[in-house]
Amino acid sequence: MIRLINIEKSYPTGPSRTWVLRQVSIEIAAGEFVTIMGPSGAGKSTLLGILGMLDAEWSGEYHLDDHPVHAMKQRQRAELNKAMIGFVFQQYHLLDSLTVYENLETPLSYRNYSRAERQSRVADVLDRFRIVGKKDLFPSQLSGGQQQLVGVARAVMAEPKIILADEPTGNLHSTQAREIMELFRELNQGGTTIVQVTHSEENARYGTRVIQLKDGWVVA
Amino acid sequence: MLGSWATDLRHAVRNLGRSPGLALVIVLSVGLGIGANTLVFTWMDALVLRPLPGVPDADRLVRVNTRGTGGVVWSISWPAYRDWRTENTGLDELAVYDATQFGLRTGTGIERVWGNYVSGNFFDVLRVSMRMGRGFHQDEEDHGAPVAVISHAFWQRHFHADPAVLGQHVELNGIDVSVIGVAAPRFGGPEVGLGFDLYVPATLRARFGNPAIFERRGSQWLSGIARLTPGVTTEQANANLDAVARRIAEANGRVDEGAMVRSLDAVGAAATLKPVFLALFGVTALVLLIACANVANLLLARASSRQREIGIRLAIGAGRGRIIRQLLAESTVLAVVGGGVALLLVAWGRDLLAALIPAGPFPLNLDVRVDGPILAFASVVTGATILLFGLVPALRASRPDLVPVLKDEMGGPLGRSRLRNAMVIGQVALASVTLVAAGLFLRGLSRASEVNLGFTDPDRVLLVSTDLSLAGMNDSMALITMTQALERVRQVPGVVSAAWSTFTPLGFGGSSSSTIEVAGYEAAPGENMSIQYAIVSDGYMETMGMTLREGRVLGSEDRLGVEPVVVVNETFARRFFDGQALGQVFNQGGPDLRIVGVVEDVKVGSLTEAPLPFLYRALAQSPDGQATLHVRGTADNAMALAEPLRRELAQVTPDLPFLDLRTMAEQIEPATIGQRIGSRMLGVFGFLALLLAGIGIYAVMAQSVTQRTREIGVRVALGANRRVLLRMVVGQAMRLTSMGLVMGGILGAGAGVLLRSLIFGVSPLDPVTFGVMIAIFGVVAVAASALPARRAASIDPVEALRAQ
Repeated sequence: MIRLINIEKSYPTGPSRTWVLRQVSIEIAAGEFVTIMGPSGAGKSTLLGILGMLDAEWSGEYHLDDHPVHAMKQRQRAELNKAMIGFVFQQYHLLDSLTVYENLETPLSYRNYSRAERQSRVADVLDRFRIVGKKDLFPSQLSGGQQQLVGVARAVMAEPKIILADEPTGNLHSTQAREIMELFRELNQGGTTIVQVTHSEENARYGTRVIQLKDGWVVA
Repeated sequence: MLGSWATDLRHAVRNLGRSPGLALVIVLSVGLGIGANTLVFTWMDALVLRPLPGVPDADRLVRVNTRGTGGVVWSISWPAYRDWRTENTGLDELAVYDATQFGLRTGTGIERVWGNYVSGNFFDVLRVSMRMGRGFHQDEEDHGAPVAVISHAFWQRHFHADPAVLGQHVELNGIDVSVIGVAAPRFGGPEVGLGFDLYVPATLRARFGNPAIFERRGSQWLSGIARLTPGVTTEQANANLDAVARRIAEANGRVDEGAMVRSLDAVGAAATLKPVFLALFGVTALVLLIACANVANLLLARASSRQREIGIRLAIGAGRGRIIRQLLAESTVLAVVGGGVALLLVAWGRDLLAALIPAGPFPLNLDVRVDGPILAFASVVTGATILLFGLVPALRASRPDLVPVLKDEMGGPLGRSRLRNAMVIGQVALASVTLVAAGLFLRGLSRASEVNLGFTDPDRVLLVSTDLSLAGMNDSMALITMTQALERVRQVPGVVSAAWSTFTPLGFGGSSSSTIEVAGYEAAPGENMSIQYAIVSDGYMETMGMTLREGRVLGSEDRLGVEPVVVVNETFARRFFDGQALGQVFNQGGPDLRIVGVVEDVKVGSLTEAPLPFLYRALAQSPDGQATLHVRGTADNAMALAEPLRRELAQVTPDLPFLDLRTMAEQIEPATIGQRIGSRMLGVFGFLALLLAGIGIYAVMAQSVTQRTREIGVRVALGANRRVLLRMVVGQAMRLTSMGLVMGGILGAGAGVLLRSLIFGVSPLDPVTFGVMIAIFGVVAVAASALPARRAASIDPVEALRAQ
């Protein structure tokens, strides 16, 4: 499903360049639960950004579900992102001015779902994640765990084939973290490919494979 | 699509509600900026762009006058009008009129109303429709029929909108006149900014006395208004009519006399006020630019602080267009509310124009309206503001580098800080220009008050105009009444002296003039020998406070039956008699006039005029019932004499019209009308610009302190004290302001040069104006940065470092 060939990223620093990723070549099959690990500054989040097509400044080849991302224009990449990918962030990144219901509805509104479809899907997900009682609350009225639960729920709203999670439990205590990871396991068992970035060995154990990065290189 | 727009708008309202202060500042900036522009546009529309309400195709109308020697503008004589009308080929039709006041008999006495003597084709030329009845027929002009067309306002006021008004009579100057028509509601007459009550055939004037004026080509008393022939330009019509007029004048023994055809806005109030309004428009455009810079600055700051939200939206599937649309939805809400504020400002301020125009004897009628074109103007300006200053921040905000944004790793957005700093510098520069313009006008006004007028203590002199012909008196009867009135008025306690004069200086009224002949004086080819004059009673020079240079002033001994005498001014004496005028004679038509005194020059029509020759004739030797009573009091407030005067004059004759009560100080206000309107309005808009620039400085400094919280925390941790931090923030504001002032100084000097013709007696580089402007901005910069500076000084370093 995902095939990276010699992905490289750098930025100029004075007369020289600083490399963030070097010759990264990896493959991830559909249905995998892959963990990317490595020390701070290894390039984990950058790699996740490239996978999610949030970062356009890189070189190499990136094939996603047989689509040559490297050859696509920004608009085409945005469409592919909408069709295939859901994001979960360490800082939850819910929209503060919207209620839980509206936060869940927003990704659908960007994908031209009809009003009835949106209502139906949001109701379904609220029920599935057991947060119906929270639907009219604003993010600031939720605990960190609850916010991340909404964050994951938002990621699955448009039924993506891949979920990219950037340290999804980094701001949660252990009990909340386990609940979120169990949720990922369930999603993965349901067929969703998951790629997570984490420092946590415990979280990594939920996955099927670990990719180790160091100074931008894949070392294992 | 509509549904998602509605959602965007709903969210926009909610988002703005979360930052009410910011929203308020933006709405007020937009509202004040657009409001000021729209307001000035409504005034321009009323006075310059759409000057004659109720007149269709007014852009094809032109003013017609006699062209005198040396290009001097004169009125038109009745015989010339009749000839021009038939012989010219560039004008479809030519009409003439003469604005005048009539004495209208009412149940309580005689009321002054303003009207026009008009040619029979007047309403046809102007194409004014009638609310009821009809305009004049040619035979009514031919026979001087006692008929009148009244204005809609007069119909409502005097006849209480009686639908059966046609055929009813009014008594004008003692003659019964029958109403034959009521003009369309908005029509105010042929003069810009004035509203007349009624119109009668010009030939009716023969019945009020002096029918000879319809025969003499030297009696030039009519103004012309004409409609251009299709396909003919004003210049072509001018050339054609001038040639026709010259031929006719020569055939009648009149040398160097032609005709002049000019566009409507080249004459009168429109011509006087157009440059002032253009300057005002320029300044309000600057205010709008400053407001827009404020809005852009605040929207940029807001977009900057919302990068995380925008990044999230992009990450969860929003397209760039969708983000732009959402940000534009917020701009739209702000602009619509701001536009509403602007219209409120316009609705409130449109009547201010009338208040700004100094009091005068004429019937002001400013058709200031907020209608289709005005709303279109406001909408276009608002729309442009949204697009330009909502779209740019939206475009910038919609392409953040997402990974750092979502990782909360954004550093200080240096580029945006530079852009915002640049905009503050620009705001200060533009606001400086408005302040310089306002300052120059104010200084000009102050200089104008120091000009030697040739008479003294205008606050102590009270003026009351009258026209005894309105009460049906001929000039001999009028003289007796005026002499009796003077005797009574001089007995009133508090009155120092009193006199009559047919001329009052520096007002709207102008003066009479006539050609003179001086034996032994060789006029140069083309020299204008038409000299302005006043007819005055004894006591005039003392009442005005004029200085006698030699000889004597006019006194009670200068009456009918003795040698006609005049007093001339110094310029007259120098020009015609090399300064040795005393005892000399000259001719003004009629018997020779002997010069018995020479007085100092008086400003006649404007403060900036070169000294003009002027002469004063004795009222008793040349009676005229249309004159102004001048009364000098002992106190500075001459208006206190008004009631005693009214009582005394009523004792002389109850029918004596008591018109246009004002002090001499009020009378001469029109001489500085440009400076007054300019300084008042530019003062208001300059303050507005200053306020907006102050808000701009505050917003940028507040944003800067927020962005530099971590840096400030580190500085405090390293030992920076409160004073250092205060100095750091205020210093930054002062640096930006100084840069703006340098730019503003250069632009202000340029603006001063452009405004030179409107500013009286002040250099465009007036150091006082520039010095005060710099001082004001110094204070504003300190005040605007004080709050952010205090916040910076009170930052807790531990909190600041933890927050980052």
